[in-house]
Amino acid sequence: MVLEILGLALINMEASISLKKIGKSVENKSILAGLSFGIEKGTITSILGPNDSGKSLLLKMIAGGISPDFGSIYINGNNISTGDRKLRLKIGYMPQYINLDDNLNILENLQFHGRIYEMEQKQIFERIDFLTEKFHLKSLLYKFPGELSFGFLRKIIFVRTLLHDPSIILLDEPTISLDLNSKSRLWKYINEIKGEKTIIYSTQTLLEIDNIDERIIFLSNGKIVLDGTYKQLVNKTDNLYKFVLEFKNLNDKLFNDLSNNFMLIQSKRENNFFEFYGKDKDELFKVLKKVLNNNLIDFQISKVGLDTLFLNSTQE
Amino acid sequence: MNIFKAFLIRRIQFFIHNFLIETIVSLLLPIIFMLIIGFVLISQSPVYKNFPDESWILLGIIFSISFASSFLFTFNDIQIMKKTKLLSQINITPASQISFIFNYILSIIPLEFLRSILIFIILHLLIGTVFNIQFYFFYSIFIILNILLSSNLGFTFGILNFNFEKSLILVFLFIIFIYFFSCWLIPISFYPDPLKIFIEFFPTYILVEFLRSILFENSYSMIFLIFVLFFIIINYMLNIYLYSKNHSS
Repeated sequence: MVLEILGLALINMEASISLKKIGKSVENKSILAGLSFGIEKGTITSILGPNDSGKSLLLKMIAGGISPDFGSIYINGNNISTGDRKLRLKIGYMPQYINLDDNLNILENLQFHGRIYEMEQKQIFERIDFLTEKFHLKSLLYKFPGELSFGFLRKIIFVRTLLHDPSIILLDEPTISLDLNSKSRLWKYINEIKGEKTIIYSTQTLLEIDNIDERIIFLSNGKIVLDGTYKQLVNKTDNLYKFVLEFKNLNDKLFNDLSNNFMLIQSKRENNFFEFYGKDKDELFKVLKKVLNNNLIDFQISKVGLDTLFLNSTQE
Repeated sequence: MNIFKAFLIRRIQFFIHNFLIETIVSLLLPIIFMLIIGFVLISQSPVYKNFPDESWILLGIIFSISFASSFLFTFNDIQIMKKTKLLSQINITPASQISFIFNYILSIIPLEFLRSILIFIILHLLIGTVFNIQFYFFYSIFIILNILLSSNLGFTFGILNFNFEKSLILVFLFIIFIYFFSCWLIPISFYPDPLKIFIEFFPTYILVEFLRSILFENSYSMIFLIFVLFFIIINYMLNIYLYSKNHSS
């Protein structure tokens, strides 16, 4: 309901990636349900959602690793499920887990990836040199995956994703287990390449999104519950307040009176607390006039941020 | 070509990192086989005029080591790649599923072939004989077919595997089954008649028996060889099916 009042709509753009009614079930549980959206070339999009919301599955599907049960995914107008070689050369996918070859050292792992992506030997060495220098990984090239911490391995997977210089970069929770310096280097690099590359990354935290002023897609239970640029979403919430009134005894009659006689947004009751949203404080004052003599104990006012918006939308 | 090169170099790098164990397998295994099994079973094996007594069993030992070595390597490699999700990563690369399996299996051949040559040389030195040139040509072809057969089967077991410990027992039983029906070390004349019919269509038996008949009788029938090729192709198609099924869900 909050979403409807905020009036957020899907953004329509000329897309380099288009998803048309994508659906996927795993063990009879619907993970993605009829998703449709487009992603413009050269933009950064974050897919935000709680655990099991389908973020990782969605990224893997765009990468072509899993086929949807129904619907299609198009990249530059070509269906990804055809397995087109040229199309796949353009995609770089970073999974959430570590899937390096334990029998090879880091340099050999990266070289193997380069060869599979049809790179020339010289090009492989140049890219490895450039990227490992950039992410301070040069000293680890001759180590084996088993000798390194999870954080280092994540950075190596990130470097592997960028090795063949893909134009579409899909990152599944890229900053998990990274220290602050590494996170900052990663976002700095992503900001450097934005515009030339289409970047989609998944995250569970809004703190991540504050780094980049780009499009956000909120995913919950396999559905898009919010979609807009960071600025759009923040602007829409600017005038929205959350009010909480605490009563000594909030009975049914009082609750119904409040809910029915005022045009309140998403009013709800939890024990003796009455909660609602409003676009300005006048709405609170109107309610307060009515309830001042009805054993009101306390009240709270808070501005709605993206986190509240997200929480509300996932509850819906 | 890129995929073949990528996997071949990976296989060589794997060999270098595991040099000690790979060398032990290549050098000691044939000697141990010959000393423990070969010389014991010599009394049971056929003897041919103008050939040393150990000639019959020598081919069986080479084929059995070659089969076990490429089967176990492929099985182990694929199931580890599956477990670590490296296979999922390969699945999104430009390499198609058909091309990946084809090139992966091909990349197993060069090192395993070299291993079998090395084993052959060691066993030659042990029994002190040299066969005719024509035989070595056929030997190369048949050992490659044996590697193709075993690595394809190793791929199937690797991709099917759900539980490492349980599958180890299954793999062990499978190898025993193959050893039993391939007549690598025991002549077919020792088996009961109903089993003989089954064994005659066993691909690993056909390969080694074909080579033995070339060496000892200078005669062969191509019809059985077609059956082996057919089996390899069917197994390859099964691998494509299992692999794509594994990665579409």
